Amino acid sequence: MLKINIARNRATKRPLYLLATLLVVLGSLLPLLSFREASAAQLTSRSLTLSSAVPDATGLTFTYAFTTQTTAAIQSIELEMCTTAVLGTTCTAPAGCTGGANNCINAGTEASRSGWTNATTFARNATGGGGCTPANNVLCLDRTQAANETAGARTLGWNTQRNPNTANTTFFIRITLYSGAAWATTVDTGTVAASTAQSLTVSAYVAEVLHFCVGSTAANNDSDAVGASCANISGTSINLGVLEDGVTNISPVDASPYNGDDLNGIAMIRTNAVNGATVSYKAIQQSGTNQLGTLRIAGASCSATTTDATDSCIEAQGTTQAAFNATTYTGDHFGMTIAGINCSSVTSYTCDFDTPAHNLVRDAEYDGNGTNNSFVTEANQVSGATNAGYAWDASGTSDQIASSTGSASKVIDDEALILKFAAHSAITTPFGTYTAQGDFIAIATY
Amino acid sequence: MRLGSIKFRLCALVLIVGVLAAWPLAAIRTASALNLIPRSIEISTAEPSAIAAQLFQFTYASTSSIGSVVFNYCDNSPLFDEPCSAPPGLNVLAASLDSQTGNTGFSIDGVNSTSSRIVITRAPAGTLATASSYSFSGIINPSTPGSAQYVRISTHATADGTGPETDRGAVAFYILTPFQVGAFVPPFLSMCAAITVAIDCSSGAGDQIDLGTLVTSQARTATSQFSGATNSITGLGVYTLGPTMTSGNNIITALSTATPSFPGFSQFGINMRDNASPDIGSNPDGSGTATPALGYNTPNFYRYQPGGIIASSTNPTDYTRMTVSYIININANQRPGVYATTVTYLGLGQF
Repeated sequence: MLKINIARNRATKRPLYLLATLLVVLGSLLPLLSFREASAAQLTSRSLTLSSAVPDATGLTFTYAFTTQTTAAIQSIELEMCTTAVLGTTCTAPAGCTGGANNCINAGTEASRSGWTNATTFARNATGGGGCTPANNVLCLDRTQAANETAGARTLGWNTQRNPNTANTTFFIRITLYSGAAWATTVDTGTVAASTAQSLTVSAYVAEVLHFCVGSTAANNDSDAVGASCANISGTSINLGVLEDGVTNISPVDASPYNGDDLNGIAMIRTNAVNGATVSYKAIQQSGTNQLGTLRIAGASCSATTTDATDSCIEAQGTTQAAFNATTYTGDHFGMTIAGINCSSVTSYTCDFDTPAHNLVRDAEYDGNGTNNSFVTEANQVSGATNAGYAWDASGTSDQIASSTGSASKVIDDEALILKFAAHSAITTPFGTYTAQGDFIAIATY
Repeated sequence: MRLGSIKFRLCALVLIVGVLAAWPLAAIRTASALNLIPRSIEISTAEPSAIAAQLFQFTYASTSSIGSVVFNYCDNSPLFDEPCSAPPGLNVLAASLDSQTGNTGFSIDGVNSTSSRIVITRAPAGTLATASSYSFSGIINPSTPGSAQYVRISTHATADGTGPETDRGAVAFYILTPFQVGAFVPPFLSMCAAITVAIDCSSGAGDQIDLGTLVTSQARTATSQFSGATNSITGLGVYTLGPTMTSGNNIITALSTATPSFPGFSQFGINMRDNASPDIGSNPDGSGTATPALGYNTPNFYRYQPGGIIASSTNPTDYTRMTVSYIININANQRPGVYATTVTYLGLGQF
């Protein structure tokens, strides 16, 4: 009995199910019917290109691209910025495009175009009319151009636009083309979508860099390899060999017959200090009496008169460079110069001493011969006057010898100062082993 | 097993939430500090373990209240977000703040300073965005030669170096072994003797003197020269070797003490001065400091002591040229014959 009753109930409800199904089908077809009623074709190949997707960005250009389906005049356009796409439904302005001064698209002029049959440009109409009412999210464009636009692809760029203010939010712009100038007769329609995007900030930090080293090198020019970096620089001394009266020993001094070590000094520096760097030295004050910072016998008692050639201190040239002439000068002399800038280890920029093109510049008292692109090549024993000038500040105060602070580019990539030392003894310079010591200091200003 | 999985997931969730919660704080900490630009450190010496002075110069970026500045020494990185490794050998505990310019009023905070961290403090006060400098002394340099050292400088609103950094920036300096230049000056002694020599011994001529016939009425005279130089710190001595003039067993008497020339007396002597009686000789010349020895340094007095010193210097001396004047007198009893002698001049230096 129960089963029979159920069968009866289902039979009685079947017409209701059929009616509901019919309504659903008809409802789904309703939009199609309504479009047909408006006589508008759908724009194809539609797109919107934003000049920026940053939320709330202003001064943007929105460029629309679409293909019209109908050959007809296009004298007015309505552009609606909405949170939903479907034409004919209520348009809600995206966040940031409502109220007060939050105008998003109702501004600007035509910025670009292509594909249009007629050259007459569109202009913003602040009053609107017919189907277009200007608002923060509604832009009404019109022009007077009765001639038909041939169906086809075209673009329209509009400037002074503004994005919604919420990141990563999709918004839609509904496009309606009208044949008349009063937004009355629809031609083609379509909707484009775009989205704001959270701008991504990429940050990094470059640490302060200072690599500075002093050592010895066999290089006696501006191009021979001296080591790729400070890690490849070694040595803490050079040997000028045996000094003789009447000749000046200049590094590098050959081992035979002069008993030198065939080495120059080298000071290499690398820094990213944008305000440049300087290289200075201080003569270490040795034990003894007087002239403690010059080439001397450690512990010796020397004269307070630096020109005394009978004591165990070789006269330091001082801070003014001068050529040495062991033939004519009866005393003894010691000095240093920067023979040139060796660029062989520079990889970050073009560096060439001869050009000259280097960031590290020699101080005027340590530039050898007064020019900034001529390497001092003299070596071993030189009779008569030396080609280059030499200086040595024995006072123990800091004396700058090179700097990049005055260069256009102040950072330095392993530029190397080739340090050349010179000394000659007098006939009365007491025999013995002479040494001078330099405390080299680099100062980088970041 | 299932309970463990749940616990693991819970722990992971807590960790993630914690990291996310702390992320904004880290970002704020990084973003809030402004850079001290420009900034630099000037060191008085780069020598390992030396006692150094350091001058920090930088420009404040902020104008907010500052109560302390921290100088944190690290040998691994200038980056503030990296752990700081204190440089071996560095000791700033004895540092003193010798001078300050710009934003001033600071003193060493002995409580919050450590061997690798200097804190200078003052009552928190507004700052000027101006160049400032702080000069310290008494800092013992790091001991590692060839090493980069970094100082992280930060300003703080608090007076004890704690709390967020207001401004910050790092500087770098390098520790280097002093560079040495060596040379050797060898022992040197130069001497020459001849009838005439150049002062610098570059030339010389003659090795014989013919005095002609000796007479009792006047002295026979002649000259020769020698020159010498040395870098011996005790100078040099010049000696004469050889006998007086002889002819077989016959001799002319050598003057053992300084004596004038007396014709008619048997005399053989020398000196190194410009004489008037007889008119002979010259004073020493040249830039050296050697002088004739006692008995040979008085004009018109002559002496000859075989093996004796005739000239010397007590210090290194450049070339000194001396003209040796010879006088020979005979008496009436002087036996005839050819009288001759060979005088050797010996220069000695003590090295």
